[in-house]
Amino acid sequence: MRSLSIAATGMLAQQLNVEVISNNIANMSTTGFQRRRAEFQDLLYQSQRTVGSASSASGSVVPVGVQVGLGTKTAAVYRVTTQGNLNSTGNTFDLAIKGKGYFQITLPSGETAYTRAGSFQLSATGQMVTADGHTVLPGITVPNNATSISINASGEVSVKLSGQTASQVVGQLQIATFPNAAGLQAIGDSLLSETAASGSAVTGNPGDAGFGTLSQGFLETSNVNVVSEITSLITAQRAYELNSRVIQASDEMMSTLNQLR
Amino acid sequence: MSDAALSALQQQTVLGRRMEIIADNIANISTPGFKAEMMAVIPEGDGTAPKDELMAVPLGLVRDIRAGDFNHTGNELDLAIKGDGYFVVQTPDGERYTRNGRFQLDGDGRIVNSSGYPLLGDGGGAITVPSGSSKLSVSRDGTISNGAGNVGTIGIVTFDNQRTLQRASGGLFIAKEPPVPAEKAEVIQGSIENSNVKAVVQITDMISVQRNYQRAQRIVDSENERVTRAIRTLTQVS
Repeated sequence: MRSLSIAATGMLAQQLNVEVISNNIANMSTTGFQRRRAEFQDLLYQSQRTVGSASSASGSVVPVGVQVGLGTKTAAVYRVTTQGNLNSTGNTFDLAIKGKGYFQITLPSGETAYTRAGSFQLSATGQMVTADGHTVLPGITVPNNATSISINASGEVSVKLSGQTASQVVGQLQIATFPNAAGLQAIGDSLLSETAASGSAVTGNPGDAGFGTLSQGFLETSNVNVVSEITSLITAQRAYELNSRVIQASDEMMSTLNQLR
Repeated sequence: MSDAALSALQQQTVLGRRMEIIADNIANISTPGFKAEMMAVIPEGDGTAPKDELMAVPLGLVRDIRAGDFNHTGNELDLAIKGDGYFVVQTPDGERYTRNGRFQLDGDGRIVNSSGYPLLGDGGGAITVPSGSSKLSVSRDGTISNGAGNVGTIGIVTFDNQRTLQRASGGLFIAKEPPVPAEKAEVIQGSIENSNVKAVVQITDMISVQRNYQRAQRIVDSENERVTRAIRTLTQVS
């Protein structure tokens, strides 16, 4: 009886759905987290009576065939790239991107990773780094004797040195966009890396055409919407139960068969 | 074996298949653009056979082509079709048709579905979004614009008889007849068409399959008893 294994594919799919939802809820307060969404597809079909085949010698054809589907499978787990809310923190090096774009981070291995989480700090040498100490690209060094640091919407970093009245520019932050940002691969620690599916990074100054702008003193919250996660959780749970009902019913039918005398 | 037992067994075979179809419908209750199917059963023969020789055989599947509910997601490339119509995607095996409107951009900026097959425009080619485009907007007639201008129009097609479409995996359909442009279809941006499987319909169907299966079983049992009794009675030597 195939209905047993068909219902099992449905249960597996819903289980993964619940896993994705629970990860979203767990990362509700993670800065720059983008929620995931599981997407399902129907599995292949077995033809028992092919549509369009001849049903008699006189040339009449079967108008509709019998195709039994074999259940469902996970097609993809998407990252939903909608904008999260901006949360005011007042911290000098907290940056949020309004619109498209990712900050570029140099990993210790030399590779470039991308992130929306803009909670940066200064290292001992005055370099702008992430909470894990990775350098933000292009490297920006703030002089020791800087009294105030401002980063404008287009990424220009300017400092006021002690004893001076005019501020001077010490660097220009650049952000990266991708043809398919949803195709970036998550590598943990809120970092993403480039893949063949994402396309290659296009870098530019914030505020250029197609790039978002920066907000100093703000952090982007996760774009998880608790209400929609909870309703998806309820739907997933009920769908799981429905599939288990099918397994129960198929089991009963098989036990009916076993009682055959 | 007697006719009564045979026809009950045949019914059980058909019910087993119906159960498989119900299981598939329920398994795909969260598959976007999925269409529920039901088995149409007719008595065997061309209608000229005497009534007492009739047996149930599965004739074919009838697809419920009604639209599923629309689920608002807000994603710019989640598209739903209001009215009759299908998106056209290019697969290695030729054009396929789908109601599943979950699209995204690939690395080259083409609009593709979750299997990576490009969505075709009304001219028949893939739609490429120039890099550096700001927010995409899709109008009701399927025109995609990126703020700087139009980048293409989604081709929406339909068929004279949608029930002849054959299903392939991945929410795609194979057509036997050439498509015609869909006149009344509208594209809704930011929404997804859910599966049109109705849980209550499937569960009641499932219960009826289960009960009929048991009833057919009882026919086989009582037929068995009848034959046993007949043998016992007829072979008694007085």
